[in-house]
Amino acid sequence: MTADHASVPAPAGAQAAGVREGLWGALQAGDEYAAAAVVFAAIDAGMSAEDVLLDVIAPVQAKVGTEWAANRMTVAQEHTATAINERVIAGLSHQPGAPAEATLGRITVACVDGEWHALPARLLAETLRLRGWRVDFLGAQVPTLHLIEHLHTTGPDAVALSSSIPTRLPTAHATITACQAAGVPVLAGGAAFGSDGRFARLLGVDVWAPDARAAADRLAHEMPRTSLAGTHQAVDDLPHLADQEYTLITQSRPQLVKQTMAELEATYPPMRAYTDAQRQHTAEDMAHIVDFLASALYTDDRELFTGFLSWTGEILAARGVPADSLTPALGLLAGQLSDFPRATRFLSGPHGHGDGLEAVIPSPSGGRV
Amino acid sequence: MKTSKRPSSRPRVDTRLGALPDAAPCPLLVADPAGVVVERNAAASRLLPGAGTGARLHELGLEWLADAHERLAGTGHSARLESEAVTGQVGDRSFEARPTRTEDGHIAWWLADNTGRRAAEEALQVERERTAFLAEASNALLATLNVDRCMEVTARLAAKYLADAAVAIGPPAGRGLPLTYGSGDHVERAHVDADPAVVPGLEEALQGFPPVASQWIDPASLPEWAVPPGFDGPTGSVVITPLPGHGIAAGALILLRRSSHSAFSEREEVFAHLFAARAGAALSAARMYAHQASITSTLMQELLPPQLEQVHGVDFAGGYRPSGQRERIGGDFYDVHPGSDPGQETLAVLGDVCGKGLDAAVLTGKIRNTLQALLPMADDHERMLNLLNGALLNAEHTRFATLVLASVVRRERTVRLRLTSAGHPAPLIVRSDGRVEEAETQGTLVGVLPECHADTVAVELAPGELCLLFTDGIIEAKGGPLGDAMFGEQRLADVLSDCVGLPAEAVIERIQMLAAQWIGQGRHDDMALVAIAAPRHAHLSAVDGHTRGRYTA
Amino acid sequence: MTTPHPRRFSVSVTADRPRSVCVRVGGDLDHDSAEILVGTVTAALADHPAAEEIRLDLGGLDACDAMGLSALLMVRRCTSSAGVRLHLDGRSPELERLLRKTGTFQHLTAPGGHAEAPSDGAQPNPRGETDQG
Repeated sequence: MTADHASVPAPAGAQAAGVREGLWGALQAGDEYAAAAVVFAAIDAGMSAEDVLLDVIAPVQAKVGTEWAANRMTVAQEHTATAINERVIAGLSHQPGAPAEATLGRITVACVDGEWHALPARLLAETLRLRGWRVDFLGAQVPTLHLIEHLHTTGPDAVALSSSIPTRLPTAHATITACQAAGVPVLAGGAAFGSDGRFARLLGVDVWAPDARAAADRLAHEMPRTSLAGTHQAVDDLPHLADQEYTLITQSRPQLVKQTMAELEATYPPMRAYTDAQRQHTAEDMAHIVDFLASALYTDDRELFTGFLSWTGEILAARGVPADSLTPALGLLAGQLSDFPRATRFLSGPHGHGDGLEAVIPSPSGGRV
Repeated sequence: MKTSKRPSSRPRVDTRLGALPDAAPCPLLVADPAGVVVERNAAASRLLPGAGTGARLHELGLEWLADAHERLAGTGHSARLESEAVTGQVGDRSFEARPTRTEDGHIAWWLADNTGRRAAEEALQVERERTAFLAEASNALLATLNVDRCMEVTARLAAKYLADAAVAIGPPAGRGLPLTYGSGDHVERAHVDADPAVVPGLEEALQGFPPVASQWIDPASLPEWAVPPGFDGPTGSVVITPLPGHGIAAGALILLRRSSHSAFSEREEVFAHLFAARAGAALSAARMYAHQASITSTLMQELLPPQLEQVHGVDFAGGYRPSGQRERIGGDFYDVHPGSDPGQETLAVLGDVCGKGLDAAVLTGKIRNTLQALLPMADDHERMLNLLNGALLNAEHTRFATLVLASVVRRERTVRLRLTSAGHPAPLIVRSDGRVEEAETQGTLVGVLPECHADTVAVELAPGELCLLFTDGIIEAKGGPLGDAMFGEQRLADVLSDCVGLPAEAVIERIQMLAAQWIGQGRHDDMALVAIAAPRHAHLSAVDGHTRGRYTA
Repeated sequence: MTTPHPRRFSVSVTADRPRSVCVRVGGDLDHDSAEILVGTVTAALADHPAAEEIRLDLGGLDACDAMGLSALLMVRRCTSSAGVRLHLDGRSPELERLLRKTGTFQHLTAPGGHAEAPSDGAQPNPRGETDQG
């Protein structure tokens, strides 16, 4: 299940680059009208709808994300760009050239509960539709129960699950297991499953795909068969869950955040000058740290946690926010979790080589750990 | 018995003393290392008349014994042979032969008839496999509540374990007969316009009641559609067995075997029946689920929040999240009733019925229908609310609703609103400079008091400005990093302030996302949102989901 | 899913003054407790037919949601049709806000004592006029 279907550049690669540039410009201006004009001009010039979706809109949407992370785009601009892309995709789906009849079979496309980034799933749904599948697109934030009811009602050949946030992995696991128990094979994709798909494998999905084109190819050539296996428990795949660290830390998240905030207040002088908004942000950061720690414990993957910390470090650095308070906060958290061997290992771990926490978080000016 | 030891435990033979246990019931055969018989007892003479002294084991037609003898004769004298028992046929019976080395280097074979035990073991093995198969079949069948999937599983398992090919047939739907073919590992669905009566016994089996036994039929009488497409016959034997539904006709199963293959034994037929009973039970459960799901979905259509879109040059977007994991509907609701032409007001309504879940949802349905009937009165919100109030008053309970009415019309690039709150949180207005204002409207809830009072306020939205209607599920959502804080009006206002210039649906999506993140895994009330926005650009939406094709400039 | 925290709710009835019954409410008045309150008041009205007023002591109330408000409206409807005055004592600022926001403040805090019905809702009850506070 490796990425042997590396995204093939579109036949008209240069053309796609030009269209991407045009669309990017329109999104930056927040001009839906211009965005639609650029995309439909490309269609008129002979670009296929699939290439527009996957070689123009998908990479441009990815750029929206990286530009936001680099603080070159505001949250409002990001939302506007996404909304415009959504509308352009809706417009494309009414283009002539889409197959009149779905002949291949039926696929359900959904985002894991708690997942708000619906665009990658939307792109897959449209791609599959263009290739002749009958697609039920359930959108963002689909409660597992609704998804299962839908599967029983429609009986699709497979369900494609999308998730971009690693903190949704435990929920994704429950959803994957439930779909398989309902006799429907699961294809998974999205950043949450890891760039190499290792979390998809860990959680027992039937097929993982690095992108929409690969997913469509996989479904066309090696449609996974429904397994006739009986009931299956999460702990069967993840024996390390038996130590209860994930469960206990998830349950005590509010207390962990409260306690860490109180201790920070007492031991980290700059905190005393914080405004209410800054305190709120710090509390939210702490809650995120606990969430990612919990997910790392669930998957028993320390890199998931350190990766989050380095990403957070970059986000904060791009905004000129000193990440000082994170280091002492991690120390305080480790202190509270000293009875949890895996959590302790994740929070301390080997340092250096860009893997350790010291490399990730700028060292505190106060020199406190 | 002359020997002091029982042959079955540790047979020892002292050939030197000629003490051959002639009276032993078990045949005993002694052969030298070269495989030549040197002695035998009376039982062995009866079993193997040809195995007299001097006969070669290889010539007796007992290759299994001769091979074992050759192998053991080659091992050293000290090797223990007791554990080297071998099993094989003598005539039509099965024997176990246990070797013992005699003091002069020969090997004595005690032969024990184990035909009965072997048969019992084989029967047990078959039973175990069948039990395992039935358990597997039950797991696979019960996993799905989808009729087509259930049919596929039935056909696949039947073709794999019961026959060479199978056809699962559903009850006739309209003119057609739904078929699922299973052949080898391949499963295929088809719908044929065929009369089940042409296959003997099929029509009765499909009726489900009265129960009919499975029936042997002449393979030659099978129509073409009753044989799986890829089946490389010729068909040797055919059984039709009903899939018993419980009160529902579940279908029938045709099992086919190639002529090269043995026909179905009585036990196999019984077993096929057991499988059919399980498949039938799973199928009828799936049919009942499908029936219920279709009723629910029909009733639910009326109660689900509508998809909002641009109306007469004004952007509308809505968002809804019911409280329960189970329900798709709840006590919050919204609607947008477009004006008859762009010059007429469009009426948007958002409200909240006290209570949760289906009970509340049913009341929202009544309110939405009543309001639709009252649309001609929409020029006077207070009057409309009083009429609604009168329709809802009920002596039995004091279940009430709070709501907001918004009459919306676009004049040039400005959107004019008339807003009225009936006991509901006042709408918020987001100005282009980021200011967030609360609409100054107040009134009584509807459905309990004899009369309603409500103030209507007029508001204008410049291009890019937005008005948000919301239910208190949003501001009362509990959570946050510390787990117990309310989302609150201030946080909602702050979020809105950051949303200046965003398309209406992006504003809704952002609030929903932040509220969902705020709540995390916690409980929450129903949450509903409607955004009404004056488009930033002069022209209409360039593309929307309802426009076929596209516009050009 | 976190399991819902069991909400506590308490209600007690005392009739230590002649013609006045006090119903003391504590905890959360919500979906689960609304019926208990209405049942308690209905029983109190039946047990004390000579009562002229019911004082609902809400000083111990922690929270009141829409179902709670619905219960208060039902209590008010019951006391009105029994011709008994209703007082809501010890109202918290949050409760007052809820009553004002929903336009029920006037209705629930005017002691009344008149029957509430769509047709004669404005008819004062003779006993209502003797009310001093």
